[in-house]
Amino acid sequence: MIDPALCGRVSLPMRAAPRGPAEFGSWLDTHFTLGAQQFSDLLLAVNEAIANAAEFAYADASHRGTMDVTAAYDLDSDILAVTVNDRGRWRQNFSAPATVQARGRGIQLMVALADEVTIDRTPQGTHVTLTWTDLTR
Amino acid sequence: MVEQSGDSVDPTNFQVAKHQVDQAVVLTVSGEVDMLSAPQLSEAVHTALAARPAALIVDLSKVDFLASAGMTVLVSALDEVVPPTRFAVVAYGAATSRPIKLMGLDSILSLHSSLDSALIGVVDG
Repeated sequence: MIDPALCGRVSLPMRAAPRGPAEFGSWLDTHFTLGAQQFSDLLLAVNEAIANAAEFAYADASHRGTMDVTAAYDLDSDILAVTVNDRGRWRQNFSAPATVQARGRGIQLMVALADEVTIDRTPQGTHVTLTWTDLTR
Repeated sequence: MVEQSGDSVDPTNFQVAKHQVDQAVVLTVSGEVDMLSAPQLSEAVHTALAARPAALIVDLSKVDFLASAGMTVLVSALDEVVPPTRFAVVAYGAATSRPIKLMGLDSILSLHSSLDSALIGVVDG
């Protein structure tokens, strides 16, 4: 079962996205006692997911999208799932190699830090789910 | 980047200071290097390299959060360095050297766990 006390949900305007990791960090701190490395791994992975979602918002200052960051911890399985949903399209201009490389680095980092990463791109937006198993063991 | 009003964005506690140690320019970075502050770090690196110092050392010892945007700045700096300028990075701990190593960037960057070690490194080659 998922303990309702251990579900967090925050909806952020795109331009407030840099606050997302800090809010996630306080939520983690409130509910779990994690080692420094584990805490910093989780925070960094979630930061990368949020940065990915926010990137185009910063490229287009008039963009007024929002993103949802949802965290759910399942007590029985000891699994934490964090989902970052945005309602916007990834920038279509893939011609700038630096941009592609930078985005690739963010994804590579998420894969290195989380036990499982799924990225689902749809015309309505992108959904990134980061999963950690055996969170507290 | 965080121009205009509207949805306020808390400024991250990012700072970068420039020091000269012998022939080396040291950029001491503190706070969070994320997507908001990375352009400032990039600018500081660019400005420091333009003066063609013997060495540039980016000291991340006081950084408590290093996102991929920050690592992109380090890799770009490497591309921007023109010999004989030498380039080194100081990082230690879960928040900085760990993600740098996870990304395999320790194989292309001259990475040191202390400023002293980096200063010796840039002199000795």
